[in-house]
Amino acid sequence: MKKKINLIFILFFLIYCSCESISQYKLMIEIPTPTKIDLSSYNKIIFTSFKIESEIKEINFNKEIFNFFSSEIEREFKGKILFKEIDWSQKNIIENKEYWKTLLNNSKTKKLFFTGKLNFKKELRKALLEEQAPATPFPERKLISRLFFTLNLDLYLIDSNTGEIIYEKDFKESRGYKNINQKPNYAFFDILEEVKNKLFREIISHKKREERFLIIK
Amino acid sequence: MRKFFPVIFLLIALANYAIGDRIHDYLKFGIMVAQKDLWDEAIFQWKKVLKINPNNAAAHNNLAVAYEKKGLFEKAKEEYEKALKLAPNDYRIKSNYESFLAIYKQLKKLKNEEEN
Repeated sequence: MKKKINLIFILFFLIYCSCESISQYKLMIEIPTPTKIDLSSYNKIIFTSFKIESEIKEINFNKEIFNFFSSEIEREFKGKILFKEIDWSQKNIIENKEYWKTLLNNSKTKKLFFTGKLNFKKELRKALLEEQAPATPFPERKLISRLFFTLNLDLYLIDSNTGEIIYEKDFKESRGYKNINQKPNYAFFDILEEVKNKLFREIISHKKREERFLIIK
Repeated sequence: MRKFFPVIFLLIALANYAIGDRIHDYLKFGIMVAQKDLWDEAIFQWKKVLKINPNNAAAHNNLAVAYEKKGLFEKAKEEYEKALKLAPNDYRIKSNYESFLAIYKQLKKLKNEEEN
């Protein structure tokens, strides 16, 4: 009899052990970092021509801006990215909601317009700077020339359904070069890279790996 | 009548067990699909738990994690707060919520910058 009771106890113990006892799972998940706007809520991104306030022969600004940003954005954005030429001779088109709502009235998909004004200048600056002289241990003060490029980019992101500006930022970036023959298109890309870093931090979401508990009981 | 009491008691106990078992299954299946990155299905499973028992802290916690994963931070906050209200001493929910708050503060900061 005692043996039977022991056997039943052992059997119960084994059944108990075989029952699941896990009450939680630790999971590494990728959480999107918050951004000022949600690009994924749009089906298309339309780059319009920018209002160019100072032309430089070597650079086709609209083409370069579209190529540069569209190739970067398409890594994160699943929809289409297109270009549309617009007429900047009309007054105050940035604030004109009706203009943006009717600009591409042939489709009902949600679109985001990238538009704005651009001014890119080059300037030769001279300054008295200390420079190590070749044959002496002491630095010499010399009049040195530097070529500076400055980009003023007023960027506006406009929702096609409401015509409202959902993001705006004025970027003012400068870069100086010792080489006074530096080509403007190289400088333009260097500066665009800086703009991109600042802009994408605010509009493109990145993934952050974090640990979370998922609970059963 | 008295002799039916044990039967009624047994039936209630069995029904309770069956409901508990269903909740456990939904929670577990939700986790299983979440591990396979099928978060919409996981949300569906955990919502089923809340239909049976709206006060299930585990389901609220898991839903909050799913919403975080999908970038729906306001919904995630709501669910974490419900879970914490139901199980204020659960260290796992507390840990999840604290990590979430760091991200949520970043979101608030961005929104404030935008308004200013």
